[in-house]
Amino acid sequence: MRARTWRRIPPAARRLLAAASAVAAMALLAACGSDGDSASGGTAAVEPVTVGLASGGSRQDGSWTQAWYEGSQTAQAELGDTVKVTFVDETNSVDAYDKSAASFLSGGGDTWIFATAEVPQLVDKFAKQFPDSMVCGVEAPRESYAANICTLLPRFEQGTFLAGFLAGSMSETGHVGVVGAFDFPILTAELEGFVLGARYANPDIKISRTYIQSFSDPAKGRAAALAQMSQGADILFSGVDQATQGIYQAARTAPGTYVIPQYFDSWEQAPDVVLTSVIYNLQGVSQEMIRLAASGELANQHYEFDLKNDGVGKLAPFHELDSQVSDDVKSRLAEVEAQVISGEILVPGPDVLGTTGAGSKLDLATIKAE
Amino acid sequence: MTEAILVSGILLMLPIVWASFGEAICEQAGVLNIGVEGVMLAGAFGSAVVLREFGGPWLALWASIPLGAAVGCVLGWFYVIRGTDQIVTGILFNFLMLGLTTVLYEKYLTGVAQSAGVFDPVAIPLLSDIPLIGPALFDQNVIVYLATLAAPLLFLLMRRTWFGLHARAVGERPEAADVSGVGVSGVRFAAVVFACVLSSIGGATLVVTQSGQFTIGITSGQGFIALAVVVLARWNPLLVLPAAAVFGMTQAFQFQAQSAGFASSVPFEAWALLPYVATIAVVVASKRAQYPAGCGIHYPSPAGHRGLTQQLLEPLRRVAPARFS
Amino acid sequence: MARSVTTNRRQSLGVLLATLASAALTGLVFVALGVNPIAAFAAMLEGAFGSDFRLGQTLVVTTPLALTALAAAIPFRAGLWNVGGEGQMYAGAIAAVSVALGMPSGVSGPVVATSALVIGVVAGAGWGAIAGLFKAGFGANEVIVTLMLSFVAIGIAQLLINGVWTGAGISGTSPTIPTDVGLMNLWPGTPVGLGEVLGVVAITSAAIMMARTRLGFGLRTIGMSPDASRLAGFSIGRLQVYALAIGGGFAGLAGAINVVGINGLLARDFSPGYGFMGIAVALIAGLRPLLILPVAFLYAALLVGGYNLPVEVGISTSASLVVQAVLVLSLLALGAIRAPSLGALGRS
Repeated sequence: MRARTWRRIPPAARRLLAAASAVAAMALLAACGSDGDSASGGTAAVEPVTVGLASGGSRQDGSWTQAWYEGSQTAQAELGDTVKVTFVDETNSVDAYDKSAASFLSGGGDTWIFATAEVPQLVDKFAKQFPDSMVCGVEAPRESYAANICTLLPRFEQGTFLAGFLAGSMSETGHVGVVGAFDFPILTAELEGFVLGARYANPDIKISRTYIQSFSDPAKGRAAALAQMSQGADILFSGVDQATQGIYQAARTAPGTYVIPQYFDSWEQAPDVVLTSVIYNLQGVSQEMIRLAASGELANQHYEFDLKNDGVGKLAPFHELDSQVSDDVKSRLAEVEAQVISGEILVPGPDVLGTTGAGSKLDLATIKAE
Repeated sequence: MTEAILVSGILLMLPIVWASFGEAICEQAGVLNIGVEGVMLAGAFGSAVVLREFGGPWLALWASIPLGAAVGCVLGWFYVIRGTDQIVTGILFNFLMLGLTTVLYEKYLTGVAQSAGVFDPVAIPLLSDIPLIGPALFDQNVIVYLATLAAPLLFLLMRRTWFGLHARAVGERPEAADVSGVGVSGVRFAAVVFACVLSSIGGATLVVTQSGQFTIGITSGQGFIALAVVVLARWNPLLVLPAAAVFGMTQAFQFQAQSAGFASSVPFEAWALLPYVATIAVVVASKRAQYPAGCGIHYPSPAGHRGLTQQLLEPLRRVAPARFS
Repeated sequence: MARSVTTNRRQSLGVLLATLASAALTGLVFVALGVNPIAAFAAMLEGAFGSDFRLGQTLVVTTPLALTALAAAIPFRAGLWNVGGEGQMYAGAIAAVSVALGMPSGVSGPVVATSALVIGVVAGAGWGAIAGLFKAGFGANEVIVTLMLSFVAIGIAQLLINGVWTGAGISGTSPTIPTDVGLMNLWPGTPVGLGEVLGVVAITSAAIMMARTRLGFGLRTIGMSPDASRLAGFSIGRLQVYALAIGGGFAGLAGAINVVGINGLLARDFSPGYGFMGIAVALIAGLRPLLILPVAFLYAALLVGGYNLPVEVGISTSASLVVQAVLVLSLLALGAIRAPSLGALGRS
């Protein structure tokens, strides 16, 4: 009788049922296994504060995600047993952010940081769903804060403004270029900050902008750089990650062309063309956020990291190209840096510079404080 | 400016050309390899490892050949011998290679590496002095010249040799080929392996002509573009070159258009759509392109081990009769 | 009779063994990654089914997988290769968010939500129909056209987010749709809502359409034998357009549900590749609408469970991609699941 019922099920469904029962068997097995685990792990004296972070790139991307990761590891080493850091990388879709956060928070996690500006809706969603946990995201300051939401913002555009000022002062052709991946406000602000800085040095400077729709494809980086160089650009700012390798290659084909990459001091990768690098010190940001979470000080407010308070946006040394930068340029650059720190020069944030073209349109007079 | 478009365009289309060579042969033999993206990733990863450990772009390029063959054997086992659905297998194979190369990259390939040891352009005397097309066609890296040579050779392979004729037979009418004594599984398996070698070279090209380094997801969908290029080229290796050029040149053009002032009124995202829209336009304009009739359908291997082994050895026997008979 | 029962039992036993063998193989992958396989499997199961909330997550992911699987399955049955479910889903999402943002403020939430869903379906159908029209009118190969249209739809989403729907702060998404526009939550404490019901309704109606209506009969006939269907009086070109439009409509619904019911806005990368996974789901389910649901559920469990791996056992999201691929590939290769071979590629 049972056999006949079984037979009435279509063959494909039968296979499925059999597979499902196998999964169930595995579930039982695994359940036994995990029971043993929790029994042995349940003896810890003090429960550490759990902090989870998610970022879209690879933890070794030489860029945004690596910086967050390194900071989180430093924090873990420094804070020891009082905190348990979970770092999830390569979350390259909204869905991946969503499910990673859900896994962490529904497992009882204390603080979750979306190390991305892409998912503000998830910050709200999870804060509402898990009122006992803290949820943070990269955002501009909000008007009001629920009890368990925080936002943070590193001000990259201050650093790229300095890089732009340097490029604008040094360009022989009066033409600089920026290469970006996607038009995404926080990233666009990096590029437009550079543009604004170049104009601050030389109001008549010509600008080329190219978005290559990829962070990592060197072929596209190279094509974009070649295109800009063929139009006269001689100093290029790279807002992309590994695709910068292609920009170095293109720059080498025309001596006197320099590249300014970002995040880390990338001088070693191409000593002959890397003029300087914009260093964002995101490691410090990551470390600080985890420290705040671990000590219970993380509050429902906005945290801003900039050139003044955290060294976000310093320029790396010129290394081998030091002789190419005149003393006059160096001293003017130091002066501008001091003005940005002191607030004499107000570089607008991503809310203003986050739109393509904003750096070209902005009236230069408006960035000088009274 | 036009020169920059031509030079960049050729560099951008080069990996797609090799991948399309492979895919064209595979599909003509009746196997739709959606996994071409994954094969390229494997080739790129392997050549980057070799480049880093042993140095020298030639060695890195050669290394992609056995690697491609090995990957081809795995895929051939799925497609031809096990007869798993080609689309599902291909899609999952792409996921697998994306994950695998990423994990291995993070474990073994990160850290600072000098971007050295790639193929530099080699100018061909006289020809490279021709205005415009000279620098684009005759002052390029050696893989560009190899691709130009490979196109007619592969064309002859598919039209004039036993392998090509049998491959096209098992791709169009596997039953008929079987009846007339052609070992369908053997020919298809050989075609998959050979195709994966070519696609793997395409992946290696991404490394040895660009930065000399692997990056996560370095193929960025170029394998899928190859699937389209193959149809555009009507499975003809000679036509692969102009078909891939449609994509490479529009891509290079859109970078130039973005950087130039005249196009600033058009948002860059619109320019970025150009290569895809151009491909659709060309496919619509070029009259009906038909896949080989047997493409995508599994043809059962002969029953029993002996029959299958015989079939798989058949292509080898053709190449080196003394050894395998 | 008795003998065939034994054969069936033996077959099921084979499937069971194949499944266990696949699990063992996947376990080896975990070992290679330096992770305790039992802990890893436990983490996956825990992640997919461990609590009401987690089961709810799995159900929520089942919906787009099932809908994009339908988007692939229906044209496949008609002998057309729709590999553009991803783009049709984006088209639906774009349309839905346009409606939700563009409605005058006086209109009540449910009305806006309903119209957003309907327009989303229409947009997905339209996006699919473009490929159908090119196929029927010019013989343009639908594999290329649907694939390229996916890139185009994703690009258009980007264009609109940056160029039209600015003013969403620094998030790089569209602005949030009004808070009263949403899909009712049906299982408190979990994200499961009306969207999941819509998914089930869609599957059921697709099954009925394919099995019981003249349109479904026509679609199946052109898939099996274009000549026969021509003799039976069907217009092949028109049916091809319908097939891709219907498929696209289901994918569009998935996109619209994402906007209205889940994210409340249009994000650049809202999909982890549902459109492509849907193809795999459709084929594993043998292109049968009713089987798509359980297969999509299991695939969703694999996906959601996989997302728990980085959190619980500390491997990267990419490593969990390897695990998923190895598991499904070995299930395929060992014959535990079977995807039927289809008709020839676009010969009609």
